[in-house]
Amino acid sequence: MTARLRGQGRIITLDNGLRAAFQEKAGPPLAAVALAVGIGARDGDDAAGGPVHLLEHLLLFGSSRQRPAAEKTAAIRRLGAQINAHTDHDLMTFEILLPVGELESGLRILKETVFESCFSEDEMRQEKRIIRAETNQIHDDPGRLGPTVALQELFSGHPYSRPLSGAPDAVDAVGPDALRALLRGHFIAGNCALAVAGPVDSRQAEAQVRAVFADLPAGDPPRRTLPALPPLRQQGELKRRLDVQQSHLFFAFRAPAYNHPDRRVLDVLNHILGRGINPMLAGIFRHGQCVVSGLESNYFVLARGGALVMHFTTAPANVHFLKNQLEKRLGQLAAFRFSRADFPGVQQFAAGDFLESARNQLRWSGEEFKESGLDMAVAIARYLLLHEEAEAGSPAAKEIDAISANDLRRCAGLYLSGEKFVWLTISAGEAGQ
Amino acid sequence: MSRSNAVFRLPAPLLAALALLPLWARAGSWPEAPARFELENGLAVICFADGNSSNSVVQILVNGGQRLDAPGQPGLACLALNLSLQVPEPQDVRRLMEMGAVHALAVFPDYALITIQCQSVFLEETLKLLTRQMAAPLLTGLRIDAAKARLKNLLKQERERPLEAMRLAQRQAFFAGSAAAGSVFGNDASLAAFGKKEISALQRSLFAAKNIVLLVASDMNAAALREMLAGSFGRFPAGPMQVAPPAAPAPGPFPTGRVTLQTSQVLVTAAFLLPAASRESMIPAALLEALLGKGVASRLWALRSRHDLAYAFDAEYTALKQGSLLSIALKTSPARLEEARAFLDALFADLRENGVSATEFAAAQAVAGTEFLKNGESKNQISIFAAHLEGLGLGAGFMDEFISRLQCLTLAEFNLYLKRVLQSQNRFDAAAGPGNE
Repeated sequence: MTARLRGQGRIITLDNGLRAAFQEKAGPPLAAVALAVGIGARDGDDAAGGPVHLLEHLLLFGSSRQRPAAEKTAAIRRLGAQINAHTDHDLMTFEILLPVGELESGLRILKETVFESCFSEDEMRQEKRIIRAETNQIHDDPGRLGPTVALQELFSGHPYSRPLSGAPDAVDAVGPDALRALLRGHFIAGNCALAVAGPVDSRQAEAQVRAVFADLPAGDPPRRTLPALPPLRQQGELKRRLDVQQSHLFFAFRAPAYNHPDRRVLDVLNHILGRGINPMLAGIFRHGQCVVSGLESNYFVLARGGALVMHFTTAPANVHFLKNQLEKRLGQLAAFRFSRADFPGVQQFAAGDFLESARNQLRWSGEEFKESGLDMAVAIARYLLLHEEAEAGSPAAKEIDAISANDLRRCAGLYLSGEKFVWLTISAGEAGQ
Repeated sequence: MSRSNAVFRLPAPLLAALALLPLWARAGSWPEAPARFELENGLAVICFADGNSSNSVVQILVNGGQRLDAPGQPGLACLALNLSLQVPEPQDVRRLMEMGAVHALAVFPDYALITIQCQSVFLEETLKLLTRQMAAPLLTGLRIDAAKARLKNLLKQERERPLEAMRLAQRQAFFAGSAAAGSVFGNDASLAAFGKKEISALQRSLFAAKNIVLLVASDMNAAALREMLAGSFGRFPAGPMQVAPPAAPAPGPFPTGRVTLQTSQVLVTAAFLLPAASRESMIPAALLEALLGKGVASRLWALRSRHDLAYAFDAEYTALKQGSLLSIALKTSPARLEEARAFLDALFADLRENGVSATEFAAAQAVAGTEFLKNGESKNQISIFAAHLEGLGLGAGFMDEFISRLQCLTLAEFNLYLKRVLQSQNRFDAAAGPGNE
C-alpha cells in the first residue's frame, strides 16, 4: 500500500506492518532516518518511570547479537554517522544522520541497534550510573528542572506524571526481565514507523528499507490503554532551591492532546503569550511593568493530553506580584481582543493583531521545518504513530488560517482561567531544599 | 584543488584509508556557488539560493565586534549594537510582530552578527523597518538605560551558567590584557559610564557600507534580492572597514581556574590555545574537535563507555583572529573531579606522544565531514557559517574547499599537529561546581 505525504513524500506499509515514509529534499548530501517505536514513559509497570528510559540507553549504546557495543559504535563512527535516541511520554525515537551514499549501511545499523540488541548485566549497571548523572544534570538546570516538576504535578496520579528520565532509585531497581518484557511486547514491526528524508532517491530508499526491514517479525501493536486524567490536585506554591541569581517562576496548565481539535488553537495561544519578538506577556511584564528579564512558553503535546508551561525569570522580590498579576491577566483572556478585527472603527489603526502575529510565526516555523532533514524525518515518524485518522488531516497551515479570535477566547477560558494551574518557584538556595 | 589531485597526493598507505571515507567525499560538489555582488555604496552581498522553504534569512556581519572596545570600556560595542536594534516607533514594532519576523544579535570577539529571519513575502518590509534604526539610530537617555539593564541581566545569566562562566574564564586566561578577555556585555561600572556621545560615534562607524557584509539564504532570485537589499542597505554611508588593534595571546602556562556553584555535578573544562584562524589552521582543528568529542566512539566517548566518568561531554573549536580555542567540557560528580582531570591528562599525553592510527584518522575525517555538511542543512546554518568565515577574514568561499582540504590532510601532518598544539603550556584548566578549591 502506498499513500502520499504532502509535497514530494510517500508512505508505504511493509507486509510485516512496518510503516515507512520517504521525503525528498534538496540540500547537503546527508540522509536522515528516524525510527519511532510505540513505547514511552507511560508504559511499563513502574510508577516512577524507570525501565523505558533505561531500555533506550541500552539499545542505543549496548551490545547487539552481532557484536559488542564498542564494535558497533566504531562502525557507526566509520560511516561518519551521528546517532541518537529520545524517550518521551508516548514514544521512543531513534535517529541517524549520515552521508547519503551510506543510507543502506545506516539502516542496517539502525535495525541492529533497535531490534537485535543483546545487552549485558555490566552494560545495565553502567547505563544506570549514567542515567543517574543525566538526572543530576536536569536537577542543576532550572530550565529543565522546572518543566519536569511541573509536568509531574500536572499529571499527578496518572502515568504521564512519570519522569522521562526515570527516578534514579527506580532505574536502579529495574531488572533484565522487565526490559525483556518491554522488548517482546513493543518492539514489533506493527508498533514502529520509519522515515527517511534528504536528497535521496525515494524509490531506491524504499528498496533499501524493504531489503533491510522486511524480515522483522510481524505482529499486532500492543493495546496501550491509559486511564482518564484525574482532576487536578489543588495546591499552593511548589518550591525548589538551586544556586541561581534570579528566581524562576513556572506556570503550567493542562492542554489539548495531539489529535484534539483544539490543538492548533493552543499552538496559536502559546505563540501569542510567550513566543516571538514581542509576545503579549513580554509586553506586559518585561516592557510594561519591567518585572521579568526572561520569558518562554512551551506547549508539550502528548497522545492523550498536553501541557502549556510558561517560564519567567525575575528578581526574587517580584515572584508573588508576578504570580498574582499573571493569574489576573490570564483570567481576562476569555474576553481579550486578539485580532484587529475585534476593535471598532478607527481604533483598529492603533491595535496590535496578536492573532496574525502568531499565525505568521507558525507559518514561518512550518517552513523552517522543511529545511532540516532530521527534523522532518522525526516529525513524520512520530506522525505515523500518533495521528489517529485514517487519512492525513488538512495541512497545519490551513488549520491555522481557519482559527478565529473567538476560538482563542473560547480556549483561553477553557484551559487557562481559574485555578487550573501548577505554580512552581525555583529560587536561590542549597540544591535539594 | 580538484578531487583527483587530492587522491594522487595521498601517500600509498593512506589509499586504504581513503577507501573508508564516507560517500560524501565522492558526492557532487556542495554547496552551489552563491551569488555575489556589491550595492552601489560598496556593501558586499553573498546570496545562497535555497528553495526548500519560502523563508529568508539575512545575516548582517558587522566587522569589529568586542575587540573594538577600547581599554577600560568593555561592553561598548555590544551596547551600541543592541541599541541599533531597538525600533523606536510603536507602530513599527507592532508591524514586525504581526509579520512574525525575528531578529537577534550575537557579539563575538572579531565581529558581530545580526540575524533577521522571516517569511520571504515579508522580507522587504522587515528589512526596511529594521535598517532604518541602524542607519539613523535614535538615542535617548531612557532607551540607553533600558539597553544597559538588558546587558546587566545577560551578565547575571552568564555568571550563573557554568559553561558560559567557563568560556569567560578561558578568554580571560588566554587573552589577558586585550579587549577579548572580558564579557562582551562589559561590567556594571563600564556600562554605567557610557553616554550618548560614544555610543553614537561607534554606531556610525559600525554601520558603514564597507564594514558590513550581508549573507543571505533565500528562495528568492538574486536579481529580486539585489533590488530589495539596495532599498534597505543602500542608505548606509560608504564608510571604511573597522580594524581592531592587533593583540597577541597571553603566554602560558596558565593557572587553574575555579568557579564555585552549588550544583550537584561539577563542570570540568580543559582548553588549548590553537593557532589563529586561517584556511590552513581550521582543517586540523576541526579534525581534532571531531576526534575528541564529536559522534560516538570519539576519544572522549571513553568517559562514558569505559570509565563511567561523565554522561555529557563535548569538544568545541572556536576560530578567532587573535588565536583560536579548543575547549573540552564534561560534567561529573564532584568526588571524581581529580579522576576526570587525570583522564584528560592521560588522553592529551597519549595523543601528543603516540598520535592516532590511520583507521582512527579516517573515522575522524568522516565525522568532521558530516559535521561540516550539517552546517548547510538550514538557511540559518549556512548563512551563519558563511558569515563566520567572512568575519574571520577567510571568505565564505572557503566552504567550497573545506572537504577537499580535509581529504588532503595527511596522517603524518595531523599527528605532527597534535604534538605541537597539545602542549601543557597552551592549556588552561577550570572547573565550576561545589567546593572550595
